[in-house]
Amino acid sequence: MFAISLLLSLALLSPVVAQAAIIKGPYLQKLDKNSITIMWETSASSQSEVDYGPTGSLGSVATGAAGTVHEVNIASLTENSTYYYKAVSGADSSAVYTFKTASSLATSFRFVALGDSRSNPTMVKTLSTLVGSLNPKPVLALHTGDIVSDGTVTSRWGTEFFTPQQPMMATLPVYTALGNHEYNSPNYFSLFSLPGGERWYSVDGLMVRPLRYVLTSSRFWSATM
Amino acid sequence: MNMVFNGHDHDYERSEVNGVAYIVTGGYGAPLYPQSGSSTYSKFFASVNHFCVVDITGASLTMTVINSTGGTVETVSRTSTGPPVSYIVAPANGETIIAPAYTIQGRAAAPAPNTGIRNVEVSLDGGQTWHAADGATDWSYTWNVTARGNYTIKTRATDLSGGLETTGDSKSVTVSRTPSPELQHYSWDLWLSGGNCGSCHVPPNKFMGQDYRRDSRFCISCHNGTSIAHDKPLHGDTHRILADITAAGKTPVYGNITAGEYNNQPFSRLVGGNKISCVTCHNTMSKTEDSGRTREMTTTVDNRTYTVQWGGWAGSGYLIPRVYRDTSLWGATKYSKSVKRYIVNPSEYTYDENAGTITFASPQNPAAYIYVTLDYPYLRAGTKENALCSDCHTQTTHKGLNCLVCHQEHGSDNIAGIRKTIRTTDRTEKAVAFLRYTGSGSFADSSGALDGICEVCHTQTLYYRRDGSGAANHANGNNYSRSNCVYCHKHENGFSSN
Repeated sequence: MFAISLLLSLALLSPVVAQAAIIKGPYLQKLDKNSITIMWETSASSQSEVDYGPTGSLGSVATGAAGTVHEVNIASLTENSTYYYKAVSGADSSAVYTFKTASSLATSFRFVALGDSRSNPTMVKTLSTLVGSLNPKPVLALHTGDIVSDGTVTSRWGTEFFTPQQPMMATLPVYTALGNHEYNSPNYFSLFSLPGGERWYSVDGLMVRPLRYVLTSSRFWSATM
Repeated sequence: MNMVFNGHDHDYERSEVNGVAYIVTGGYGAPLYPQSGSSTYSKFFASVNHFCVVDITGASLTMTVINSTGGTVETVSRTSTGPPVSYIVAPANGETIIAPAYTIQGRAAAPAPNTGIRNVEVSLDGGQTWHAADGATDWSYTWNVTARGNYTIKTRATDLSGGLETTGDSKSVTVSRTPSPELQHYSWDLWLSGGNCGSCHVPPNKFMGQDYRRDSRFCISCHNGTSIAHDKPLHGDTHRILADITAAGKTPVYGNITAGEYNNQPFSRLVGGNKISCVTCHNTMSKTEDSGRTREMTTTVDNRTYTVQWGGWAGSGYLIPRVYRDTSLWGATKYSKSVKRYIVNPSEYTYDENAGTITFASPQNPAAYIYVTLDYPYLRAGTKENALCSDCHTQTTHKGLNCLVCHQEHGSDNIAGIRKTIRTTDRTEKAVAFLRYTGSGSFADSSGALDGICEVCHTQTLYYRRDGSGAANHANGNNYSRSNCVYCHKHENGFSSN
């Protein structure tokens, strides 16, 4: 009798125990002079909140739609300024990281170009540690595609790309192109928040002109060839 | 274009075609490929895990390829050569410029060997005429916009050896509405119809042959002129007009106003031949020293919450804001006599008096110009709430309230321009009947309506209280029923009895 009631109460408790934990990110998207987008993923649907501010004491809050993939846009930021932030979903929150808004008046500019990060998390971790320790810090990174070995397999986005690249991706916006190994998966469009139509886009105005990036997708080429 | 980054092949390779470096960077982890062949374009190949770091300073570019131990695979440097290059940082292409002045900003660089910039020029007409910008490598140009419309801004730089830029930068922009309501009248003919000052004014300083500064016809050609300030005899009271306004350091109007008497004409005449007219208080020609009374609002990202840009409402008495929305003033319909159509219905928003914010229930059109004022735009007063009235009047306000809490600036059916309704301390609107100074319809007449100018607010008077209760007599034992309250509680003393 006692044992049965104990089992019943455990069964009743179990849904409450399913807390959302951060499993990807946070990572930076859509860097701009006065805004930025913070994304992360949680194990269960939860709130989307970013605490941020010019110092480690944060102080401001931005929110986005609840879900498992979280996307919070922070607007009204000051150009060319460093901000501290952390992602908050329910009881779980990330460490405090920093990002720096873009500057249209910078006289020098550093960025990183890389590609084909798939299938080798150990190497990705090694290289991302080197990228993350660059001094001066790059403004952004360009990824030429083939991010994971199979974009349709949801787990590989964590194991091959996001997990080995933390904390680098929490402080460096990565602009991606869609590679053939992404297989046009909805995962790509869910996990990244890219400018314009996302599949093909350009980024301008983050630095001294006339530098301009046009990222295209290998899917586009294979489709037209 | 100097450099193109590609992926897919798991290696590093640099090819050069027509001065452009084509980089294959596919070495961030995927299984490495050996070199299977080579073309005449290929200048460097390495089967290595890597990433590329690109540094750009001015006309110089350096790419360093880093391997997995932090070593350097290859370093490539480029310096642009040829004519100087200028470009526009602001505005962006397609941007809408708000008249009347805009600062165009930009940069310029001169590649080797003439690495200095002598000057940068800006054209606002697509390259037909050129104007010198301030600065060189970091330049700006103040554009005094003279008409609405579409413009093509072009730039060209000259290097230290006299070499002229070949193409230059180009941005297409649209010049749109003026920045604030204070400027609307000033700019209406300039921007709306392509006219100029001469469309309305006959030099010097005359409107349609009249000196508009002392004539309201300019205003009432559009505005309803039946409710103009000071259009009624203001009782026998002198209203404490300053004896000599100019000597008191006040400059209330374009021209002179001397103290004197009112008559009963719509646009009252002061002794000395000067009139009170619309332009006594309103400024049709914005001047920099006139901040006006308008609080400009700006939107947040959600287009719902608008915040006061300057000034504030906390402690400003019991005025409610009037919120205006302007989407059409500069559109095809142009100006309308019906100014009220721009006033936003208060049911559309909530008002946080302490935070100084208006929050709309639904998102607003981002193109809408939202502004709020505690009284009215175009006033030529400064920042103090009572500055406009106190230019001429020396009354003291009640407990620091704004004159406009009790007085209707454009007059009313009540004497002394007392408002027909007053917003009281509990934020409710109370009807007010102020028809005479004593007796029925005076300050506090104990009629059941409790609509005397004192009754509408006071709960603590000994005699007439807004809730209808109260003792019959003052503290001194006297009964002042239907007496003139300001006989003892003088306006000039802030209605104190002392």
